[in-house]
Amino acid sequence: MIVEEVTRPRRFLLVEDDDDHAEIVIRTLKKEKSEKRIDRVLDGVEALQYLRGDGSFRGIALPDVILLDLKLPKMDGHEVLAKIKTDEKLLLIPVIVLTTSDAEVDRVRAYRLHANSYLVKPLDAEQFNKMVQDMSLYWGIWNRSPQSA
Amino acid sequence: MHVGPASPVDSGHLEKEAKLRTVIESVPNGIIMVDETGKITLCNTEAERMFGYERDELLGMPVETLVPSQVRTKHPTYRESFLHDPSKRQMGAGRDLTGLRKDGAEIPVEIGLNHIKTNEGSFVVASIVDITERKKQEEKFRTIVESVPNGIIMVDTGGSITLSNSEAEKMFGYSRGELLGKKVEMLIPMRYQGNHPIERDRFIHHPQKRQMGAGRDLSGLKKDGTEIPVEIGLNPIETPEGRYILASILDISERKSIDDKLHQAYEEVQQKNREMEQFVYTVSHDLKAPLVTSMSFIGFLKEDIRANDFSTVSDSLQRLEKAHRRMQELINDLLQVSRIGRMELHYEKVPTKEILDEVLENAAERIQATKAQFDWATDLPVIWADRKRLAQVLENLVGNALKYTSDATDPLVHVFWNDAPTEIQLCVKDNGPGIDPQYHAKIFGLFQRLDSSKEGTGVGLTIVSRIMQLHGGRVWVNSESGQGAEFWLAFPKVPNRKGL
Repeated sequence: MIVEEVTRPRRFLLVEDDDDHAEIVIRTLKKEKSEKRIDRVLDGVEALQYLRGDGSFRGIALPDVILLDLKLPKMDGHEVLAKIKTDEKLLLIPVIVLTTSDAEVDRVRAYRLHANSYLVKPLDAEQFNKMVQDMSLYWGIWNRSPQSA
Repeated sequence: MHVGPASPVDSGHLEKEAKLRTVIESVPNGIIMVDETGKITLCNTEAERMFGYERDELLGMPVETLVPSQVRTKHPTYRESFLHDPSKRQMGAGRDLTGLRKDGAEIPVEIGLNHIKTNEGSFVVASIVDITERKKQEEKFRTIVESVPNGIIMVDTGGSITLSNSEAEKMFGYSRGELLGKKVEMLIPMRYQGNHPIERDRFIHHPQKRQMGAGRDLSGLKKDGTEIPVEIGLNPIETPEGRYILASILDISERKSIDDKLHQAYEEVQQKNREMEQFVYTVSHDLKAPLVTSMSFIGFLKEDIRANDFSTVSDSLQRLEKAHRRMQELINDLLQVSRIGRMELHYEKVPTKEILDEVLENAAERIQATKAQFDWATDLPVIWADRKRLAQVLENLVGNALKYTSDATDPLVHVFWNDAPTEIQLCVKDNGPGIDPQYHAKIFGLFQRLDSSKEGTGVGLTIVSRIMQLHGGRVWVNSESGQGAEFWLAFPKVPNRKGL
């Protein structure tokens, strides 16, 4: 496998209120070899503060990929998605929905709001592992986003 | 014609008289001539047949003999006044006239009067029509109109009611005959009255059998001012007296109320379906989350054990345990919510002070731990409610208040109430972090939480909301971020048993 030289570590923003799920994703992402930085926020409101550099997030660079849970306290994932995809400064960032919900209504709504990908958290640990690593590889390495370095 | 007793007799005269007799006999009406004293001086065969007398009997007989006894005494006076003002006219205009036959039977008649002046004095000629047949027809018509289960109203071109059946009178709350001669607009609610004469006029000029106000909901105005939903069919009727409009009116109150009930039931089922869908969706999502956690951490544990790395084993086990406890919690809460959905309320008069005391006693330990101050109105009301469910509601609200004031420096929970016109409003107020108005609707949803760092599944306010719904009451929150929160409960003063 020839992996193009990555000139700087990929930055992931994980929007996840469930501590355990966050831990699973982060642990799995770290297993995958490429260098990366993962920031986590707890809900939709905090996610937008992060992305807009508000308050304590002042000066933080935009992430390369956003991993977005749907069921979040305060502002839910769909609302966050809508806000990102209508914000001129944010809409180019790939948003990957990462949720327990496999309901059609959620999938359709997410794609309507221009989600770039929709992943359902698998129950099986090995599958979860594989999925997160594949995702990291695909969106972190193979995929050329508009702002790829 | 023998007009007077002393007329001279000659052949020309006789011929004239014979001609006159032929004319009189050919008239289809009964003809009777009466002198100033009221004696019959002339009659034709039709009159004889009508009253059942022979000509000899009639001639010379007082005309009052042919008048039914109840008016007989007044008749000479009427006769007198006619002689003084002898204009050609209908007798007894507007009244039903009857004639008395020899056999004692009374027959309905119509009588036209005329006055003749000869050199032998004044005479009155009465032209009599036997209207028995017509009356029978009218009676038949009347019977039909009365037997129709609809209200029937006939209106003339001027909008006056000329006929109404008892069904119509009953429908609009009027007594027999009270509607006759009145404007039909009196049966129409005020807000529609303005246009009606124009509509009526249009119909009169372009009449066709049709439903009135097709596609619209029509209402009728009763005498007592209340309104009833009606359906009206219009039919133009041509009579010798001119055009009339026949309106057939159906009171559809009952059908409407059944329709409304059906619609309401349908809406309720739809609402329940939506709730059910939401419920299944939420449950599948929320139950899956701890399952994903345990499966993944079991995976991590396996890896770690294989790698002889025990550094995170204890952490993983803790997370596993927590996930399982959470699943148990969710299942318990689900059962609780589902029980409330099919619960029957046992209404009684409940002193809210008593319930609050119980709730505070049960929460004593937590209150101790949070050092929260409690403050409540001394005159807390007695309300119609299910005692256990009210306790459950207050338990949840007080529990929330304790939970969210725990970070405040001087936690304070205040319970007070408000006597509104139709409901008792009870408020649990705290000085916690408050809730941004944009989340006010969301917090009552199943398993919705604004702060995942606090314990609980997010079922408490869902339960509160369902119990209040069962009581036909309401729950809402008044709060701004950073301003504390007021949770309001409204119980109807008259218990609404819809939820039973």
